[in-house]
Amino acid sequence: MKHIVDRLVTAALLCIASLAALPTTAGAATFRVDDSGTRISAPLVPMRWRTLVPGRGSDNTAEGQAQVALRLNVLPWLNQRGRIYMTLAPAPSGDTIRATWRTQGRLLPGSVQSGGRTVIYEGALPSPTIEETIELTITADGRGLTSPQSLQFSFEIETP
Amino acid sequence: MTRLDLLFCRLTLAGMLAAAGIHSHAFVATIGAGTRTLYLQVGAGTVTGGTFSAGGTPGNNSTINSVSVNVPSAALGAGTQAMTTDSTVSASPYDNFAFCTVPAQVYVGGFYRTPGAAGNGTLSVTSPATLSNGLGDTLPFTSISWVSGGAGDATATIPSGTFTGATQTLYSVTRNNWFESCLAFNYANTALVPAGTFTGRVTYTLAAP
Repeated sequence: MKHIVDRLVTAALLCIASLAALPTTAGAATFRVDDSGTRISAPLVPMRWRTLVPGRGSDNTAEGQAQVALRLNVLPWLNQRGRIYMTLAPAPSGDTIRATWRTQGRLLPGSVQSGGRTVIYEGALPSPTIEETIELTITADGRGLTSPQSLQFSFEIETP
Repeated sequence: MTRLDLLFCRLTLAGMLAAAGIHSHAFVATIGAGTRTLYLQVGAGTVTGGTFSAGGTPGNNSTINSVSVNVPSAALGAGTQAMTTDSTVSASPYDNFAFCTVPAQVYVGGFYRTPGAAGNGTLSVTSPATLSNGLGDTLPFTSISWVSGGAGDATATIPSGTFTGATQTLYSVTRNNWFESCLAFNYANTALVPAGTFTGRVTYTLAAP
């Protein structure tokens, strides 16, 4: 019996080692965070010119707002410390898109540009989930917004 | 590693992957296309909430301004007579800049707002063939011309010209830019005409593709 237990423990350790070496995007201790419980308030975020009238110097920024109810599953890192990033994939159009968000205090406010990532949480993870509703503002050069496009947000965690 | 170990590893790994959220998906925000807006002001206009540059909002204004000139009998056929307008717009509605001189000039400005690489807008004016005094006498609209200008503009945005008695293109409006000029009208006064008040209406149009 002890022999079987030893082998199981060994196998489990091997599996943990395999998992640690698995999917990382920015180093061995970076993992995708399950955000499948996240909901966005509007299926289509209307983009409006920031200034209705173009200036002689032209401010062509268009912006749209949405509320996002974030739900991040951090159970695998429970009671650890971690740094969570919000990432924004490159826009399908190739244009530069910027997302800025305000929080209610549990998460960090900030902004991210398409193709980049920004820290949204840093510290201990005492709960299996992090939930917070953020106010998301998306801005882009309105001259490039010729058709709807889907922006992909995701989350990554780095642990020490 | 034995077969038992491999199976265990597979099961454990699957469970840990699920717990670790390796199969998580990104949340998606779909943004819409930008909107199109068109604004043209000839003479009087309406903006609420401050100047346009301060975030004001353009509105409809049904005012039809006029330009006119009284030609003394002694001056009939004696050459160009400058016309004046009842428009009181001297400041640019964009930023309140002192741009036109009244009553000598009529303010004309606007913009064409659009996303993408659409073509430019087109500013045109349509004039009838003649002005009429209501008694069967007429003057050709080609006898009226304008000189374009505006304080600080080395080159006028809308070119100077003469009415053709038909629809004519005045200016190709670059999208997502404000344009404006001040037009000073003149009556050629090259012929003797019957007495009376001769009137005619021209219509300015800003069209977008």
